Amino acid sequence: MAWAAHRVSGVALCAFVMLHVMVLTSLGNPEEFARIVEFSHKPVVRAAEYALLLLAASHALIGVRLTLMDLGVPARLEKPMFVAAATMLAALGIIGARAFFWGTH
Amino acid sequence: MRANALHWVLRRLGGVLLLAGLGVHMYVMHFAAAGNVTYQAVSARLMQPGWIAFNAAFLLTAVYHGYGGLWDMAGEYLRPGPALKAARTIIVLLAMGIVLAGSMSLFP
Repeated sequence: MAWAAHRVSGVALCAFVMLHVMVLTSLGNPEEFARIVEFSHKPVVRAAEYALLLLAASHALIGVRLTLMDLGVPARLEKPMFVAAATMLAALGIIGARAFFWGTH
Repeated sequence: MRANALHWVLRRLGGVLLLAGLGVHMYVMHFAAAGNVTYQAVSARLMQPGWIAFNAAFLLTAVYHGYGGLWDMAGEYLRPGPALKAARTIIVLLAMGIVLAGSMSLFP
């Protein structure tokens, strides 16, 4: 399941990187830049950015766990690693939510 | 076999580097810069050699890690033949396109 989630999130992130770079190339002047920044303040875009943060964090944490397992970390540590990853993801989720929805961003 | 092992190591190393790079990128763009994501501020930052080097390395690492992953996935789901060749060609073209487009933003 972690392996599948890692793959699905990876494909989604590849699509995002492509979209992100395409948007960046269109920001050739201050007016267009300001328009895009203004658009990014809309609630739906903020929510999408927050989802992206969680997606990237999940992909990274699952990736680290899968790599450690590939490198021979004992099977008895799989569950503790999962718990550690889930805890870090939850912490990032809380910090990110505060920043994206109630904070300085 | 050695090339595959090297690719395996580089993809994992790239992932770790991307984690650090993403942390810096997210912090600078979304937390530290709060309210100051203006054309002038970003342009000024992108004139500094250190930031240009960071963003270039970030872009290349992201493309290698991500599109290298897609390359591997294509090899796992498609049998050797025209379909695999076509899929990998598309992946390479997309990766090259992203690097080119990203470079145009960094080196206008």
